[in-house]
Amino acid sequence: MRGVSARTSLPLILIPLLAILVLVPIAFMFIGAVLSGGLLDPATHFTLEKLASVYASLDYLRTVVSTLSISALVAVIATIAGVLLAWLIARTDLPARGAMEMCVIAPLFLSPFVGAIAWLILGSPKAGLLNVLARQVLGIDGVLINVATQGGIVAIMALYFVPYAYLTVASSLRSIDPAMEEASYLNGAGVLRTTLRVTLPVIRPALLSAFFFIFVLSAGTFAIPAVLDRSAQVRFLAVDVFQASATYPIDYGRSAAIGTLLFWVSIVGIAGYRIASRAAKRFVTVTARGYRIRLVRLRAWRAPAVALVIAYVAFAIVLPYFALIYSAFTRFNSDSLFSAPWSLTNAVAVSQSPEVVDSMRNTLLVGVISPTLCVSLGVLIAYAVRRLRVRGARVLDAMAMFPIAVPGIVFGTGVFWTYILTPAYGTIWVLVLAFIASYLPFAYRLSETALLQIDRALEEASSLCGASHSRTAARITLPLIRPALLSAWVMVFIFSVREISAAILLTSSDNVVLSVLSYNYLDYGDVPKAAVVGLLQTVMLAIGIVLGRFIFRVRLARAV
Amino acid sequence: MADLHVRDLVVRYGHVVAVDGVSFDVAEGEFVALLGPSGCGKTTTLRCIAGLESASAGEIRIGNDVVARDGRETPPERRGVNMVFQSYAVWPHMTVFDNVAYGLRVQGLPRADVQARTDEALRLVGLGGFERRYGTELSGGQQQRVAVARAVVTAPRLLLFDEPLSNLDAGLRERMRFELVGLQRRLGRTSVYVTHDQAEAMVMSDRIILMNRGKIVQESSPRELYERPTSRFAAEFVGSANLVEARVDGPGRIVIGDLVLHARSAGETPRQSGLLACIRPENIVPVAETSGENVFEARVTRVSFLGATVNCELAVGGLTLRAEFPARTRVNEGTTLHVRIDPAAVVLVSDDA
Repeated sequence: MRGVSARTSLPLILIPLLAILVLVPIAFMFIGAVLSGGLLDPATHFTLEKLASVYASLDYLRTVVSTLSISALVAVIATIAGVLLAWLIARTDLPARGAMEMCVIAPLFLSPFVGAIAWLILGSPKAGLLNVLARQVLGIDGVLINVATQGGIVAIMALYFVPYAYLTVASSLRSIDPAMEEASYLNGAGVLRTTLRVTLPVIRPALLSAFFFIFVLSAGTFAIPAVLDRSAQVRFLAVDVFQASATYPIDYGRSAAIGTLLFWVSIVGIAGYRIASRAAKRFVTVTARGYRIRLVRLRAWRAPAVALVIAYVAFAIVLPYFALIYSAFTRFNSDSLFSAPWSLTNAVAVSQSPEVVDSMRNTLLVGVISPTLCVSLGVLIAYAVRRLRVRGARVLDAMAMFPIAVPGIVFGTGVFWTYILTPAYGTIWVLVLAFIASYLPFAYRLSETALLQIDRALEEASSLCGASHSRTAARITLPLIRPALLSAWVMVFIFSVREISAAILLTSSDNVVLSVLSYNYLDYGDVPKAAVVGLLQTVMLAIGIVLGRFIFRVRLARAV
Repeated sequence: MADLHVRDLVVRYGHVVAVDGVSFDVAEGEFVALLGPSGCGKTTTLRCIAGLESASAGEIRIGNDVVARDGRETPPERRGVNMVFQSYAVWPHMTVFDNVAYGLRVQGLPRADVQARTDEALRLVGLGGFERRYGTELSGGQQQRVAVARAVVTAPRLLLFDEPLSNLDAGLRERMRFELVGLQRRLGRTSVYVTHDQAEAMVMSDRIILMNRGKIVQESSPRELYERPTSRFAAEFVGSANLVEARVDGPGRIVIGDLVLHARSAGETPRQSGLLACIRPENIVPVAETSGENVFEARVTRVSFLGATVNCELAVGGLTLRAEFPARTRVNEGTTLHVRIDPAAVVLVSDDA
């Protein structure tokens, strides 16, 4: 009798709900790819023309190759850097390891899009601050760095994806039995040999899973290549999806067709990720804790190691934000780099303009509504799967995790095709719908892990005290998983506030969010305005993080 | 308060049968232990009684209420039973008082009653003054007491214990045994106690139900279980035993190795094959006389001094037997002595291994 009704009825609500949120947009994208025009156009008919123009053209083959090689390169570089940083922080006597770790994962909570704007300010070939500096101070004639190249795009993407590799590798390093390394030392192997012959082979599955994760992330990244390479010289699928739907000749069908191509790339990458993750789990060795591994003494290498972390922070955070602030608060040109007058006028004027105020309100609304609904849905699914053990639990699990394989820009295409004829289109709700689905895997996985971690006996004790299912859920289960839910909320808040790739496909005059506005300014060539809006967005993120971290004591690193 | 009846209980997980046709009764006010090695189905049985696990078949009755039969089950919150968990399951987000008061508040009792009964329960387990503490601020033993107070405060018809002492250190465990029994005697609650620790079961319970591989092996008082095991498993699991192949030679006479032994129970066992003689080490006693009923010459092959006792390995009539002598006995390896095996203490059991 216990819970029988909920076990059958809940999936009957949840499965269709998830299908509408998660699967229907993808289905509509595939439909859009085989239509000759818009859904409302009476002349619209079935055609394979768009698919053919994408799948069977040499031009697109080149784009695919370029996308794959850029993503693979980014993943390799970020993974190597992540391993190095993780090993330094987890296994050596690097000073202030806690602070170092915070520095390394900090870029995770910032917007890669805003970072890209900053690097555009720093490293564009002519007016880039670093290049101007090089000319004026060092007397270098040509261009010091140029971010508007394939190499620049790879470098900046890698810069912002290092924390993902770091977290995967660091948690793997912490989960393996230190005795394996100690045994190697006792057998006479030195640090280098132990690291190469024992540590790295043991964490190899984690390296692979970091590689695939970053590969998928890179392949779906729209903001960084779109911002850095304004003239679209470097071919990238995610940028093409947007270009096809935003620049003349606008062709939503072709945009959808490119979206399907990116979808397949992503699916393959995620498949690799899942295989590697499963292998990584097998390597987790349960040990008696309570003692720390002997830390490797860096000695003379200590200074270079610290310098490496500091350099990373400088390139990922300090320099970019300095550039944004400089650009927002001065009227500089290449002749007056050092003598540019600082002024608040521009920044204040931008912040008070109606379009910025509107988009701040939109961002805040989306930033509050999306995580609230997303985490509620995630915890409901997790409770149904893990506690009620509903019928179709595996289906629910698969559906809730599916969006992890769908890049934001692909999802945006699908949501566009799905809701274009509904009143939701053009409102912030269409963004909310896209974000709930995109970030559901995070909210669901975090809730599920939290549920798995609490002792079943805590809930059983409540039942035996006579409490009903709902009372137990409200008084025992929810309070116990509250920290995880708050982490999930803050995480989805961050994602939603900084999101651009789906938002930019779904934008109209009434639902412009800060990231889209910033991109629009950039598109008009007004970099200082874009910088101001980027800073505003960062302030919003920072407030959310500070609230979460210090008021709700959310452990953000756990959330990722 | 009520009695408990379990009839033909079966619990299957896929192809695995965790509990295989278990039936037993617990009388009102009785303290019964379910004893057995891990994986024997004792915890699953207990969880079925609590309603935390579903029975695949069989019937469970508490008092006059059938709480499980034919796949129809009363949910745990409506069974009127309460349980002390192995992990204590003290809610970390609530104070000690809130933990214990929880069940009373669920019942919707007036505030004053909740206060009074919670205070009484906390006093009963010796935790008066700890009301405002949180579960995580308590030691293992104190958490244990919170769990006990929380289980008794609702005045359950049936009190269930799931290995409640297994996470405590040895000294505390021994103290808590007596405290729990004292508490149960004072409250007179019908109790079912799951444990894999035979000493715990012996000390605490009125009756022990010994389980193995999902089935009940033997059901008797602690003394009976120790003195009259009916199977190799029971003899080996409870206490230590010399188990040697035996053949019934005549009324009250058996043959083990080269020895002809008088055994009271031999006449009661008609079976001739697959029999083992169970001789507890303490029933092999050193004697001064060199002949008589069940007196044999033995060579000491190994001696270990354990403080209260001296454990010896003896070579007797082609057999190797373990014996436990009082500590004052002087024995040396390699020497010979005479021992007597009490005919009343030789038990024949079936070889079920």
